[in-house]
Formats: sequence, structure tokens, C-alpha cells
Amino acid sequence: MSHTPIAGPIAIVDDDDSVRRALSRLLQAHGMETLTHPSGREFLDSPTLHEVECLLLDIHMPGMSGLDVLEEIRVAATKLPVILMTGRYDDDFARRSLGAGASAFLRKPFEEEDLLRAIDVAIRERR
Amino acid sequence: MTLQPPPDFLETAPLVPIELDASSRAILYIGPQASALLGFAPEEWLEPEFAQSRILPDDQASVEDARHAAIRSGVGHVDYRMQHADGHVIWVNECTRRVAGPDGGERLRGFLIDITDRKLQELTLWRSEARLRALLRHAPDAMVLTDAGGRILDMNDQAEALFGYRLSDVVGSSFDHFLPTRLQPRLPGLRAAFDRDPHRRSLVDGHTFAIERSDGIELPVELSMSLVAGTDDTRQLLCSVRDLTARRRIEAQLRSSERQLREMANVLPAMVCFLDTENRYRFVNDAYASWYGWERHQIEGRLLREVIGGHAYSEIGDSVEAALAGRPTHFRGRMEDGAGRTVPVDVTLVPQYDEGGAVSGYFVVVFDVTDEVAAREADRRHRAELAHVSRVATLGELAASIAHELNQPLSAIVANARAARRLLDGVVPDLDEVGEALEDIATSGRRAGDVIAGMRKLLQKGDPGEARNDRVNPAVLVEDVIELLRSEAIGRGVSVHTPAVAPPETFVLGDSIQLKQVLLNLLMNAIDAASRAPAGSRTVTTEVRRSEPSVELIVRDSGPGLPTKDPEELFQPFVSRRPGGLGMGLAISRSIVEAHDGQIVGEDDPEGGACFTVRLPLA
Repeated sequence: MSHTPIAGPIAIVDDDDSVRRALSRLLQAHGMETLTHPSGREFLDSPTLHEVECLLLDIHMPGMSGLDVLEEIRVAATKLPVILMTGRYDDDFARRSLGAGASAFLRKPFEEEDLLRAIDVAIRERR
Repeated sequence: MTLQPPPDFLETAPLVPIELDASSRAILYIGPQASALLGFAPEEWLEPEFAQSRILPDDQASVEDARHAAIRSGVGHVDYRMQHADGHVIWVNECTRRVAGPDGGERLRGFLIDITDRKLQELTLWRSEARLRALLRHAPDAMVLTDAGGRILDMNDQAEALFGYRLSDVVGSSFDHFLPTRLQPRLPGLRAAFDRDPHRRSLVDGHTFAIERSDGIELPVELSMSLVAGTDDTRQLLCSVRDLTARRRIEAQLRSSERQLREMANVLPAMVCFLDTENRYRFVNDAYASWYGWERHQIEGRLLREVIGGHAYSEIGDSVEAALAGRPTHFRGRMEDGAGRTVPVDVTLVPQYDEGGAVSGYFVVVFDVTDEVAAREADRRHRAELAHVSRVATLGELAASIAHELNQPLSAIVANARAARRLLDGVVPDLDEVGEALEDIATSGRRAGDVIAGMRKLLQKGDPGEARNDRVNPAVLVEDVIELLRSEAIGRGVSVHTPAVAPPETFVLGDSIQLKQVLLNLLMNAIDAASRAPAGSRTVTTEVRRSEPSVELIVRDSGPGLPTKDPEELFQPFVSRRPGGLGMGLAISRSIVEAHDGQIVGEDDPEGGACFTVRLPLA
């Protein structure tokens, strides 16, 4: 599989520490740079927000949900590509997330290729 | 044979001839026997006033009367007392006749006879008779004095009142007079029995003997006879007649109330017995006796230990001690019958007190609770089955959240595995990083396993044979359930708070799975209710509060409050506010809590939302 070269870091936002570390490790093994945040608020407030190339965002988080984060990003009219992830089997979320402007929706646990393809597509679309 | 007295007759006869001047009462002659009579020579008697001075002052008047009578009518008799020369008193009988003297004057001629011995005998007899009469008068019972032939000699006022006759009406008639005709033939036989054994006091027993009053009314009596005095011919019998009417009535009442008590005790669906302070059976009902396969009389009078056996005795020893110390006790246990069958029983010991307030014994009431225990067991099984169904349904509702809880570690595992593979494929494999990835995989695997184990526990049906009796900290139960519902709460945008640190060393006894289910139901309802509040104010708060002798588990939500103010409706089954809910949650929760001797209350929180409190007894 050939991938679009990635200039900036991939941000991972998930309240689950083990998921953040695993995804970060996997993407780094593929030569990508990663930034991790345990909550949407922390990501939105981070100074590196604008360097981020693509956002991997968990939907189910306490306090601010992934959809809330997505909405805030869209309100800010940034073109940051967002890939939503969820561990819940609920098609309603998939529809709502894509409608809200996510470039992809991944159901946990997902395969390596699906993740890499989603990132590739998202970055390509942005350009 | 001659009509002439012997020449020394007058001087030797055991009497004292005497002659007095009728008008002066001076002694003109006295026989020589006077010396023996009074210890003074006859010459001294002739001194003026001598004899008069020896007569006791109390008797002088009667002596004078008798002499006066002799002068007037020709003959006089009198008994009087004189003082002997040695100081003691003798009794004298004076018998005189008026005669004409040689000078033409009147004289009194006669004898003095020493009657001291006879008088003393008479006095003794009189005294004992007086005592007898006094006894007769004052005895509480009716007393009748008869002669040997049964003829009535005397009777007291009590007898007059009892029989309804005056003494004057019946004196001299037979004692049979007082008996009903049908009993009269029995009296000779009774009297003969008494003759054979005069020491026998009670002639007849009061149950079968009766007297008939003058008005024809029959009364039950107890009749006793005793020998008063005399030889065979002169003896007298004292009959004591005790009216048994009142005693009979009281006895009859007692027997009747005792019979009623027995009958009542026998129809009771319980084993009842009474034991005295020596732990000896004084009363047992039929149920108690037949429990041991015996008759009542085989148990009454025996010791507790003999009947129930040493082992059972040692088990109830404390309760017996408490009852004898005046404390009622109640306990549940198992009891073996005469056939070796053991059943569950409910036992109560109640001390009894005598009139002085001391413990006189204790009642034991034993209920066979086999049916009750079986019913409770069946009830418990049904509840357990229903609870299980409800848990399965609840977990169904939570499927999405549980999937999330599993998918989190699974996704980490997959990502870590792929990363490790990739790292190993590199020109220079980063083995340290691979090692860390493998470590993370193991951790995530364990976490997924924990989720499944927790679910399995809730899905368990539980041992149908026996109720669980875990010693659990309710705060730990709350934490476990919150953990299980974490994902659900996040999904609904609800934050769950556990503000206060659970009090340490707080335990309850019970089925931890069922208690967890109660919390699961309450927390799911609370999360559901809170999710209807505006975003940002969706909260559920739990609290564990010690409130002796209970512990309170409180679940509050910021939702719209209870749908109904009627607590009964609130806990009605098949009414659910949650889509997909069975509507069994609160109904089952209440039955679980009540089976744990607790209460569950739902009310509107003054600060908004609903508040449920589960109160459980502390272990």
C-alpha cells in the first residue's frame, strides 16, 4: 500500500490510556509522528493544535464527547481531517458522525490497514 | 346376826360424828376421827369459833345456808373446804339432821366425811369437759359430740348453722338424723371401722360424703371422728363436719380452668410445656408428648434433660438459664423427634412468677416451622430466578456499553500486536518497544477478562440450593457497579459522583450478586433520568452512609424526579420508563432488599431529581 507522505503529527484523543499508547505505538512503527491527549478539551486547548495533520478521535469520553469536539472544530472552520472511533456498536453514531463532517468512522477493534487507509484518505482529501 | 352396831362402830367408821347446838352452832360433840380429818384433837374442835375459823371464808355462807335449811326442814347437806393443820385444804361433806336435845333445845346431829379425793376427781373431769365445750364452741368447723351409740350430746353454733337445727331439737337423737337417707346405712359400717382403728381421723373422704340440712339441701362434707374420753361405755365421739361446698366450687373451678387450659393447649398448633425451676416437666400438651412418641403422663414429672437428651439440653442451656433468671427468650433451631427426624423449629421460653414475684418455672412454646421454611425457600428460589431473568435483561440493555468496555482493550491489543509485528520487521528491531507492546497486550487482555468475569458473575443464576450469605462492604458493591456502568454513563453524557469516602469496616450480610443488582437497577434508572436533564447538569451521586444499626446506600440523580408520588406504584412490576426495560427493576430490587431485612425508599430530592435510599442492617 502506498501512502501519501505526512508532514505533521497525527493526534490521538482517547480517554483510555491503553488505547492511546497502542495506537501511538502502531503509527510510530509506521514512521508517523503522534501527539496524544486524554480528553477533547485538552486537545482543543493544546498549542500544537494547528500543526496536527489528522485527528483520531474517540467518541465516548466523559465530559466532552468526540462529537462535541468535532463540532467545535467545525465551528472553528478548520479543515483538520477527523477520524472518529467508537467501541460501541451503534450505527446511529456512524451516521451522525459522518453527517457532522468526519472523514471516517472506525469501530474498535479495527485492523491496521483500515486505520492506515482512513488516515491516507483523510489527508489526501484535506489537500 | 344382830341389828345392834358393834360397840366401837362410831369411833372407828371412816366418818366423823358431830353434834351442834342449833342456835349457837357450837360443837357439842365430835368423834375421835376428827383428829385424822383435820389434824386437830377433838378437844380443840370444841373451842368456840374453832371449827368456823377452819372453814374457808368463801364457803362459810353455804355452810350456814345448809345448817339453816337443816333447822328449818330437818335435813341439810353441804360440801365445803377446811384448812388442815398442815396447811392444805380438804373437802368435807357435812350431812346433819335436826334432833331434840335433852335440855329441850334443838340440835343438829350428823357426820363429816372427807370427800377430798372425790372432789379432786370431779374437778379434773369438770375441767376437761369445760375445755371440750370451749373447743366445741370456738372450733371453725361444725362439731357434734355423740355418745358411743351415736346419740347427739352437744353441738356448736357452727353445727346448728350448718345443719339448720337447734341443739335442743336434736339432742338425744341419732347422728344419722343429719345424713341423707341413702347414706344412713353406711354409718354403722364407718363407725365399726373407726372402732377397729380409733386413731383414724377422717372417716370418709369428702368427695362422697354428704349431710342433709333441715331444709332438705344436701351439702358435700368432710367428716372426721375422734375419741374423746371414757371407757367403752362412757366414751364420747367428737364429729367434726367440714362444709366442702366452697372448696368444691373452687376445686371445680380450678379443674375446669386447668381442663380448659389443657384443651386450649391441645388445640394449639404448637408444642407447649411448663417446667419448674428444677427443669422438671409439670405440664405438656398432647402435641408435645406425641412429638417424642409418648403419653403426657410419661413426660410430666420427668427432667428436661431426660426427655430431650444431653445434646439438645446443652444447646438450649443458655435459654433455659435466661428464662429462670426472668428473661423471655426466643430462638430458631432444629429439634429431633422421638423417631430421629429433625425439623426446623421456632422456640419461645417465657418465665412464670409466683405470688411473691419469684420465678416459679417457665413455659416453652415450640412451633414446627417446616412449612414456613419451605415456603420461604420456595419464595427465595422464585425471587432468585426472577432476579436472574431481570439481570440478564439488564445486561441486554447494557450490551452496547459492555461491548465498548470489551472493545477498548481489544482494540489496544490489536494495535499493539500490529505495532510489534511492524517493529520486528524493521532493519534494526526495537526489541524494548516490542517488549513494552507485549506487556501492554497482557494488561489489556486481563482487563477484557475482568469485564467478562464481572458480567459472568451477574449472569450467574446463583446456587439454587442455598441462599448466599456473603459479608460484603456496600461501598465496594457501589464501586463495582459504577465501574460496570461507566461506559453507559459516558455514552449518556452523565457524570457519576461518589463524593464521600465509604466508611471503613462497614459490612452487610447477604447475596452480593443480588445486592449488586439492586444498585445496578437504581444506578441505571438514575443515569437514564439524569440523561434527560440539560447537557452539563446530568449527574448521578451515590453515597454510603452509616446510620446505626443500618447502613444507607443513597442514589440521587439530577433528572426530572419521580414519575409518581405513590410508592406502591413506583415499585409496581412491568412499569418501565426505560426503552427496552422489563419494568422489573424496582419491583425486584424491593423484594431483594426486603429479603435482606432492609427497606428501599424512593422520593423526590428537595434539590431536584429523585433520590433512592436502600437501608440494610449492619453485619
